[in-house]
Amino acid sequence: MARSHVRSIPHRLRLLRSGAPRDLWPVAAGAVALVVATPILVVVSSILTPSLEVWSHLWETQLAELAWNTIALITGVGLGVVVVGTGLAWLVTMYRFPGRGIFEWLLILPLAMPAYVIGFVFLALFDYAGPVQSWLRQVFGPGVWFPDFASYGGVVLVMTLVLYPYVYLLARAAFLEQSETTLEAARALGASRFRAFWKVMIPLARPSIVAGVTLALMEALSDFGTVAIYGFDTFTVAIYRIWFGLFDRGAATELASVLLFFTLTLYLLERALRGRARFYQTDGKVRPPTPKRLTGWKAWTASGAASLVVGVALGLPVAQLLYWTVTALGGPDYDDRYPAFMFNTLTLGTISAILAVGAAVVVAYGLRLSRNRIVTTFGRIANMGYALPGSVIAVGVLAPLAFVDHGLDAFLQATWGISSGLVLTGSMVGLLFAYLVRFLAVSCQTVEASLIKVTPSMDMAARSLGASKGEVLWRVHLPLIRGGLCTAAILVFVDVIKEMPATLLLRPFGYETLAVRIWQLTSESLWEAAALPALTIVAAGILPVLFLARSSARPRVGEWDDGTGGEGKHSRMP
Amino acid sequence: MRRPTSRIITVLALALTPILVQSIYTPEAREPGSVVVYTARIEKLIKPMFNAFTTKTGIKVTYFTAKAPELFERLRAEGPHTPADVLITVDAGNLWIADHAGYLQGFESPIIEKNIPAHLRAKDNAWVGLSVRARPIMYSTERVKPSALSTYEALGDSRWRGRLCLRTSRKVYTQSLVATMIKTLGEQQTEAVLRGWMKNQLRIFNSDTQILKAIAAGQCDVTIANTYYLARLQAKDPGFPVTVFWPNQNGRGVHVNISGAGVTKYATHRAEAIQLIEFLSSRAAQNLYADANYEYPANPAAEPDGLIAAWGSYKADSVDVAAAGALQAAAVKLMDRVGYK
Amino acid sequence: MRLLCLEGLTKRFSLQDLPALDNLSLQAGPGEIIALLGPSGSGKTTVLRLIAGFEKPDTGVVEIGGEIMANHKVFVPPEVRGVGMVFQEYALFPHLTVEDNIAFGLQQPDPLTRTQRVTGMLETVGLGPFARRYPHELSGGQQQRVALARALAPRPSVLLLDEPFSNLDTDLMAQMHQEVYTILRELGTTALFVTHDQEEAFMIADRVGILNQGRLEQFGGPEEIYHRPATRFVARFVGKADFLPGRVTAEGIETEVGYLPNTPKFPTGTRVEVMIRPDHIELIPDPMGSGMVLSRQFRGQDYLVAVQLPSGATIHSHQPSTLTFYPGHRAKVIARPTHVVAFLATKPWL
Repeated sequence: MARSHVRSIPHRLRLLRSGAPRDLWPVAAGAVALVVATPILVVVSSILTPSLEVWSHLWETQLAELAWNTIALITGVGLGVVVVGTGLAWLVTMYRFPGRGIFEWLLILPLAMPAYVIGFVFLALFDYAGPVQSWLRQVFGPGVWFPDFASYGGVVLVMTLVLYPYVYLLARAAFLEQSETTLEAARALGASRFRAFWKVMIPLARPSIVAGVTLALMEALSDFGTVAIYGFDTFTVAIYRIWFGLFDRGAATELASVLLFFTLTLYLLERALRGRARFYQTDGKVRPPTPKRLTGWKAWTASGAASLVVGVALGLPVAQLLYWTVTALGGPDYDDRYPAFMFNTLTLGTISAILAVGAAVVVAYGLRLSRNRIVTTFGRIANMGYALPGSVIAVGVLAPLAFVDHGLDAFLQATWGISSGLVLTGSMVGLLFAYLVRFLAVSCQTVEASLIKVTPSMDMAARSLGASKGEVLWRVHLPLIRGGLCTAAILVFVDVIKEMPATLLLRPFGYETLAVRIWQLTSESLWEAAALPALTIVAAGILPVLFLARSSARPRVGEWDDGTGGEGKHSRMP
Repeated sequence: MRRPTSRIITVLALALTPILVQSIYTPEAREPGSVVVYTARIEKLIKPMFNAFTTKTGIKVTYFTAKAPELFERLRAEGPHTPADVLITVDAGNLWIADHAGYLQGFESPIIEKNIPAHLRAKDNAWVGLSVRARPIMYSTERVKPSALSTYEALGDSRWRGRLCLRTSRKVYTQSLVATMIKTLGEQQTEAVLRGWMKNQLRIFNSDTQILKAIAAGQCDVTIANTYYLARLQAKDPGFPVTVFWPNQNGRGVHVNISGAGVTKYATHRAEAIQLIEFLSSRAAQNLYADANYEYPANPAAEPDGLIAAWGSYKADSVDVAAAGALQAAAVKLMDRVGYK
Repeated sequence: MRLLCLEGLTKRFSLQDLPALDNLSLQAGPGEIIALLGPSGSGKTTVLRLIAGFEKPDTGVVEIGGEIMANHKVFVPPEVRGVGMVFQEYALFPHLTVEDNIAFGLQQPDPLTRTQRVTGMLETVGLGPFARRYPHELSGGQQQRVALARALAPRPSVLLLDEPFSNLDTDLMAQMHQEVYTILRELGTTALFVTHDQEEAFMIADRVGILNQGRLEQFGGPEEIYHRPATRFVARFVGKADFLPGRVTAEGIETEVGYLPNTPKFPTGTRVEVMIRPDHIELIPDPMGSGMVLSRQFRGQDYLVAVQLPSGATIHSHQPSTLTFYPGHRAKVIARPTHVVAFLATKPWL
């Protein structure tokens, strides 16, 4: 009997010998990463032919200020998102107060608000000519003091309000993953609840918080809309100034590479902070911290703080947009193509979310399987697009696409005398490609963070049971990280529907989206008319964010939910 | 376990293919008897003219809107395969760049020569101005006496300390204004003028509309802005307390810019393209074109809108507007040097 | 017949460090249970990973069932090696029920056969009623049994177990030792398991390999390993051992605790070190005795008594818990080894 149990090896070996190449995954990951990295490399390669004249002009005039402003911006926004994001995450995970259940997901929603929209709304409300200051002057006389809103402070405020949800989402997930026992241990050692949070929970959640801040800062670096409206000159502003003012696209892309330098610094900083710690969770059962009930003024202060953030970041802009929609000159900007705009916007968002998550899975899984230098390097470069302004990426995308198109056409002309014209340039492919380059970091960070929590012995167990690398991914990893995939897809979706500059430059002929519509109107200062498409974008973004919020709800105590992922009950944040 | 994977991939592929195919092929762009326009002038301001053109000629117009530098990028990448036949953009500087970068081809048209004065056309016939946009001084009717105003240069006078607001130097309108000043006054003198403005604690805004509202609210008293922004505000609120002052009337005149059009170098529908531009220069279209945005028509036969006509006529700076393009970079650098952001 | 054959396996993870595995050779016959015993970092797990195919050997051959799985040319990926593996932390798939976990590796296309196999395995490990539970709803011992059933379900030619019992508490460990042993014997599975616990290795394995710094120091039956350790390291690792200097004379090996037979046949005059286990030391209370009791450690069924000899060397002895020695007492020390194990005194001391 014993012998008959032994399965026939030669049979399985035959399968192998007829089979596919063995180490396909790192190759696939490297290939995807290389393709995504190409436009970024195109941008960086501009440095090889520096526009010395422009640089020396910049050196004499603005460079110091630009660098200083950019550093000030990421420092301010970094501090802002850490304090607001982590603070709110702490509040909703550790305490019970009136409305906590609602705030828990309401606080994610500002993610759906494009920074340029909130930026403009705030300026319109709080600037000298806006209703707030006008009212104050009416009441207290013309000498009344009010901070200058179009300033560094204004930019940091706006960006903090739009970007803190990244940190909030990640920090909250990290807090929920922590065990009550860790906290109890700290309390038993004499730490107060706050001290325990500060000394134990924050350090444990640090990788998540740092990942959130990195995403937020990359987006802050690439932002042009807000800083331009507020007249705060950062490197991104200078890129456009040189490109559109000096008509020197070369110099502009050179300046864009400087943004990548900032990103690289952020990345190295993150690595240094993360140190050699690894964050697998091997133990199965985690009891998340039990929130403590707040009473009296403390409870109301907590509710007040959360309402303030939600009110300012979401309520106020939405109210103002609604008001403009109603009062806009000649009625709201509506025409019968609106359903088409919406459909196009949602289609682009959905397809790019799928593509970005798919590419992220390939890259992250490839990186997991192989620590090959080349694959890792391209993987890192491919993740830097998030810090580049959309137009710069668009230019980086156009160059290789046009190269392929013209090459193909020339080849066909020479061989058969037919012209293929432009196949990729100005097609949906180009636009989707640009989105992929720009937003891969968002999906990749999320997917990687989820994958890292699946212990390597899962891979080995599955492989020793006869599953190929691909099957391991399909049958083990993907089901385990489903929550993380969902988060990644939604974050990309929301980012894509908000995206304006790359869409503007690369969209296929006659393919208009809501963001393009907003540009159409705002470029001629018709902000009131742009309120309707802006509101629509916010609404379209809020729906999936709501879904995200729901699926990331607190896991019930005792329910299985460990670092290796759950049955979709508790999605894993990046 | 292979099957569910491949099934999902198949479904995805089936879902994506039509969208991709539809986006790759843009059949209408290649149709004979149609014309494709790349326009930096936004849809709202251009579509009525295209509709009128199609009604009159039966030629279909498709268009693609984006900022001028981005349209140039697209033209550059597309090269000889571009679907674009016509390029429409605002600002003479942009037209000059398009011409010099080789995106346009010259064309002769007696109709256009008749409709549009020579100084609003390119010397090499690469482009044609279609509307004129004046950028005069504007002031608060509540706090400024027009007698205190004279020229752009005089805004450096210390009486305007803390009262002068201007648009950001990132905007092409500001760049063209300074570029024409360099052309006329020379770089040194222009720098002196800019330094004068700066000395008055110049306050920078992101848009003309914002400045005009700031003047109404009392934050600033004088500015330089395009007339149509004021016209829009006055159309909404006739009592808006800001009005126009035509500067330099005893000298070179008010700074004017243009919006204009040209035929792209690789136009597939050259004849239709010329036909469209001819139509846009006609008196009927000119009224539409200019009035849609309260601009001054380029065709002298067309009348400006009543609202802007009420500000009276003015002497325009006759400097070659295209010169602005050549000097735009110099203007930007000059503003960088004096700290005009 | 050799079911599993490792020959000259060497693996280096970096050029600077010593090899994780150095020229290791080992064979296992069908149905044999092998234990690899060694301290942490000795390369035990690397051996498992090389057999399973998660690492490529730098040199050497891995052969399973007569097929070459890895050598300098061939590398068969893990999924086609037909090797089962049980992990220290079980690595059960948390998103699958117990039965789905067990069915994971089954390739049979016929659902009926699959179900039968799963039910059979569930019965073998005594988890029939838990088929639909999720891993997190099971106790540690039950999870262990699922892991075992999952690894055995596809009928692997070799089962590898990586410290399979180290996550269990003492009572459960003893029970699982017995159960796993029974199941493996019943199925006749060839198994290779890794542990750092010599009792566990001796209890379950037919043969035991001792690994130290990537080298296989000895490979043999448990008794042989314990009584005839090939190296000082083995001697110390598998049980308490003292080493006393000795000199080979015509009468035998002369040591402080008497003459011992020169069974290893060292030439006369050789300086050696003799291994002496506490079991082999007899203490007779004697105020004139040469040994002085230094300390005693109560261990339940017996005492471990440390005695200082006149030369200053310390030797240990197991004494029944009824007999009482106190520190300071003197005793006569007699060695009665069943096997004499001695090493050349090349180094002054280990």
